[in-house]
Amino acid sequence: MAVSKVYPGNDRVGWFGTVAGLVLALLGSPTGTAQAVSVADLKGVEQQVQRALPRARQATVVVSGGGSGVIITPDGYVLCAEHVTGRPGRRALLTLDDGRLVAAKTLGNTRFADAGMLKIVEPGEWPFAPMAEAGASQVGDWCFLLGHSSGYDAVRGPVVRVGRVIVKGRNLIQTDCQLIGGDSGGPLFNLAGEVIGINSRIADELDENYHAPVEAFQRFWEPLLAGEAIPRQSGNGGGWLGVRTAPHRDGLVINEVVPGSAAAQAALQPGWIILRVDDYAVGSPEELGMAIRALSPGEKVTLRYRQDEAEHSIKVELSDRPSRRRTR
Amino acid sequence: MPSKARLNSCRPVVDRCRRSSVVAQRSIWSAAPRAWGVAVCLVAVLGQGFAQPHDYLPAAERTNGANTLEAVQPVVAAAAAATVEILGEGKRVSLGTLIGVDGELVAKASELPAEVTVRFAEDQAAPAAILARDADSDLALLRIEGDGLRGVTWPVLRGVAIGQWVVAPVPGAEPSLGVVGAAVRPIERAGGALGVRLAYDRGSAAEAVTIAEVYPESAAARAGLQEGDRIRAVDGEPVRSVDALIERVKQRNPGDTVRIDLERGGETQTMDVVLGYRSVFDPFDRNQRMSGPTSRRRTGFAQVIQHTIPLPPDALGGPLVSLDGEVIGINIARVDRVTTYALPVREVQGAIARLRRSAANQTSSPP
Repeated sequence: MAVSKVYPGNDRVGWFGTVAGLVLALLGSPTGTAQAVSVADLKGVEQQVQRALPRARQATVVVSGGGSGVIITPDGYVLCAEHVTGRPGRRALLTLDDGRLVAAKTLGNTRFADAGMLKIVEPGEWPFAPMAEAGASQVGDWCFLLGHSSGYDAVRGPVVRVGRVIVKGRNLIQTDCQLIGGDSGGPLFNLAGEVIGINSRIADELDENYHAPVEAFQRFWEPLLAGEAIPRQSGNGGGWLGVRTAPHRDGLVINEVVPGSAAAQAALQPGWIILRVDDYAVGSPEELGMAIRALSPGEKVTLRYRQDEAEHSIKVELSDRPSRRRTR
Repeated sequence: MPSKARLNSCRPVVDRCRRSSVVAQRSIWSAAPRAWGVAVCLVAVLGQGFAQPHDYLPAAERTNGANTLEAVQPVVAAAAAATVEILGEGKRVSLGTLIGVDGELVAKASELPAEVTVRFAEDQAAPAAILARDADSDLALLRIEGDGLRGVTWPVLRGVAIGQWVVAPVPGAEPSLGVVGAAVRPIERAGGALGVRLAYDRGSAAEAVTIAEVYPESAAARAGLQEGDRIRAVDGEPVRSVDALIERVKQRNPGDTVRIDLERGGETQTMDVVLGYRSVFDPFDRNQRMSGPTSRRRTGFAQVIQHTIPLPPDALGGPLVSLDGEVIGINIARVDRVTTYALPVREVQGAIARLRRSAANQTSSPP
């Protein structure tokens, strides 16, 4: 699925475009994501969540102590987070919703997406929740998740959270379903009760909850089942621009463009002053590096820069980060 | 086996790749101010020829975004009218829920100083009398003088369903939305704390337990316990191991006074320590560290509704409302990043009965 990125900062737009755009934006974007929510909508979401919950809950497991996971086939394949499963071929113990303990082994993983898998090794037919098809989940979708927040509590059970998809990328989904330690590896569902992602990590804000999308499993399905730890697709992780910069009064001045890098491809020039990345100010080379690494290779960023007193914007498609180079 | 820390981890990227990656995520994807919604909208329309969806959900559209909350505002209007703010020393310490026609209200007891003011409208505040406190529920009964102070209407009791939406009105702010996350259940008490780190002596047959560190602003610090003090007895009972001391302290509650016999510099002393909350150890708990401000008193409830509304610790004591506008509980504790507890109506009504009895006994007793 191609998720297009739409960034603020188009300098070719004049005032007419701005006014026209504002009018259109106020009338309602034709893309359909800017919609009011009604109480009836919320009740509809509630009904669907509650309809999907019993099966979703039966499929959700505790993975060896602290993490969570979800069974996605009747023969016992389990989606989880890489940082819970660890390396392939290890033994693990799952606690099912009814309290049964079953033996499992870890399969492959993709560390860059925090996707890990297990297989129940005991014979049986297991309660499961199916995976959604690739591309099924989109920005704005309502969703719910389960996880054993702060560890297994038999009386409490897994904790439900309901929210919406905020960002959908190749290797991550962001939602406003709050996560905490213990939820890792647990399932994120669409309202049909299909697994669309796996709980992975958070940042400080309550809207910053990240999940590995099922697509990150599906892209590597055969090697994951075969128990491969799929190497990072992106060197040190994340995208790479390929510039050396130094702080400048209004941003960062480019001192060097690494030959063959994304920056070189886009013909960035030493002396340009980078003002913003995707319309977020970058105050230090570290911040620029962080911003770039948070994206994936192949994603595009819009750099706002100044050259000879004039401001411009340029779109740069990030490349893989070479593993041995430390250049930003 | 992975280490426990790893299993519990919800921030692997943070741990492995430095904190910076989290900061980066925030700077790129942060909950954008509302203006961004418009900005992105604009650019989506302008730059992309009307074809592309947003790359991220504008803040207003999110579960606790302005558009969503605007929709639920009318639902909570009646409950919001019965929700007041309790001020202690000038700042809000709790919300209060009006429960009768004569200015009676309940609030979160453990957050209330001895003297409080109740703000029941934007420009109207009055001193309130704290009539009684109920340790079991952590509710206090207060009364204010004022006209037209109508209490909440308790619903016909029905079950609370996992996955149902709940709303909390907060005076001066938009209401906040969440779901019931788990079954209604009791929460065990955690007991009190000194707020010290204890040294595990390797020697056998220890006669005392040594304090390795006194945590700042802890009960121990307030009482004057010091690093190196050797605790010999608690309330006259000798303690010969770290575990025995912890167990003994946990049997008592925050606010209780314990008598500590200790050795300091070769001399024996006796000290009274008013125990604190076990939340003094939050800085050492990974999940608490990622949770923002939480309530000190968050354990020891007969029954709670667990929900996900992100309420700050000074916004408890207010009503928890269903999407039908029914008050289904009183918020009582912010627990962690994903958890808030509310007392179900049945518990609240039991507590109110106890509080009224207690208040009546106090006023009827001779001076």
